[in-house]
Amino acid sequence: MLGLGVERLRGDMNRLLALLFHQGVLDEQFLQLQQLQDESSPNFVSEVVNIYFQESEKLLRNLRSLLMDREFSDYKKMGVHLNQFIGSSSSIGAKRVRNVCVAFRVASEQNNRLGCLRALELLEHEYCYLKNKLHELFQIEQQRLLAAAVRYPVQH
Amino acid sequence: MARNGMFSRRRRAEKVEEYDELLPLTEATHEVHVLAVDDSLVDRIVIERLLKITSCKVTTVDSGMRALKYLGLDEEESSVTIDDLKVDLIITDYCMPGMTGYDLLKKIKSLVVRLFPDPGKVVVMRSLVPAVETASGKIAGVRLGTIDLWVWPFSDPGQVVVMRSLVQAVETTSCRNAREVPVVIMSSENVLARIDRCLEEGAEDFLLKPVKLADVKRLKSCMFNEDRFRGEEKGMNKRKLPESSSDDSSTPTLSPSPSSLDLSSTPSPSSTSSPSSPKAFSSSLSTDSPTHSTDSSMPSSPTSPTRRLKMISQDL
Repeated sequence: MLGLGVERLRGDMNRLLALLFHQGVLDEQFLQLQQLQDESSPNFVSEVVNIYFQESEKLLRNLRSLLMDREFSDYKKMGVHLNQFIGSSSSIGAKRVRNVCVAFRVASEQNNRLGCLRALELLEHEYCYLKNKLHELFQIEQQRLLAAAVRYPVQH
Repeated sequence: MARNGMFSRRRRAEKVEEYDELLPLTEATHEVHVLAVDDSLVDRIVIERLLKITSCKVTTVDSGMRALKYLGLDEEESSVTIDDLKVDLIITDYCMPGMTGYDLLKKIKSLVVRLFPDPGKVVVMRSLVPAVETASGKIAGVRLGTIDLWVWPFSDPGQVVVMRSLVQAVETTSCRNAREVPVVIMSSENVLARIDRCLEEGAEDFLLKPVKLADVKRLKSCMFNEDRFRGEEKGMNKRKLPESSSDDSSTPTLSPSPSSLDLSSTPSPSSTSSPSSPKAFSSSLSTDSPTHSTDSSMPSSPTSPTRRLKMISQDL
């Protein structure tokens, strides 16, 4: 019974990953990260991704507070935040978030406040979706590991 | 003075022997130490992991200023003894606030070596001026290979002769010149002008972000499996011989000859001279080190990275 669970969970994980790739939410760089995970660093992907989440939420807060300021004019500063966001998203394979940031950056280079506001909303939406899906992925992974551990109590 | 120089060398040899005793089965020769510079925390974590997986020792800093500080090169007239140069490779992001990767590259490539009249003590000084006269005396320049020598103070032509021979002595011992520390630039923007500028300034390579494991493996095998560093040559050669079972990992797991640690010996005559041109490694991409077949499971690119980047940018 538990054995079946492991297989089904692995299937769930693969299906979710395939979906995310198909939707363009993730790209090949995410697979590169998985390559860096091994016995010596078994939680590498989730650790990096969690740091990415922390950094991203800081950036999103900064972006929002910049734009909410009625006196706002510091597009250059916004560009700096966006560059950071683009860089880190690209490093973990968050393709759609990255692309929205790039479009956001274009609007900010044009000093287009309305365009920036729209881009920010889209960015927040994409980011939420990414975060939820990745949490889901990590949860399935955790369950699979637990189920596998029970199934094969003596691993080595 | 001279005693100091000898003392530190002896201590270093002792330290190395201790290490050898503690870990007889692992390679006791020099582990490649990389300094990674990036203002992004996520990227620092990723690059650190990439380098650790390829068996490098890694130090990460978040800015060019911190990098210079770590290397001991942050003050105007700072001098660092050759022994202190702690890193074999610097890999830096291009876009960073304050000092960019390009600025850092230029600073490092502008270093010169200065010999004190104190024999055995070699120092590194940052200087951007070819010839300067000061109140305390004239500075003469001596060029030996790729090292520029500034002698301070200089009042006696005989000193130049002494200095030349000291320099020759320094050159043949296993020491690293800061200017020769390879610098690799990383950037998420594939801009040809930027790449060219970095290579012209002496960058060893230019990696497009996001950096992949294959990039780091290639970098390491190109740069450090050739006999680039004289001191480690003997060790490296011996390490290559018995080991042919490595497939994915780039480090041999067992070194059957721990006695390969023979620092006092002269460099092996069969060693190739270290490539001085920045693009020399590109010709040795796939075939030069068959026993370190790091890329056996990865497609080895036939073209140099910069050529590949140019090809990609033409497609865009």
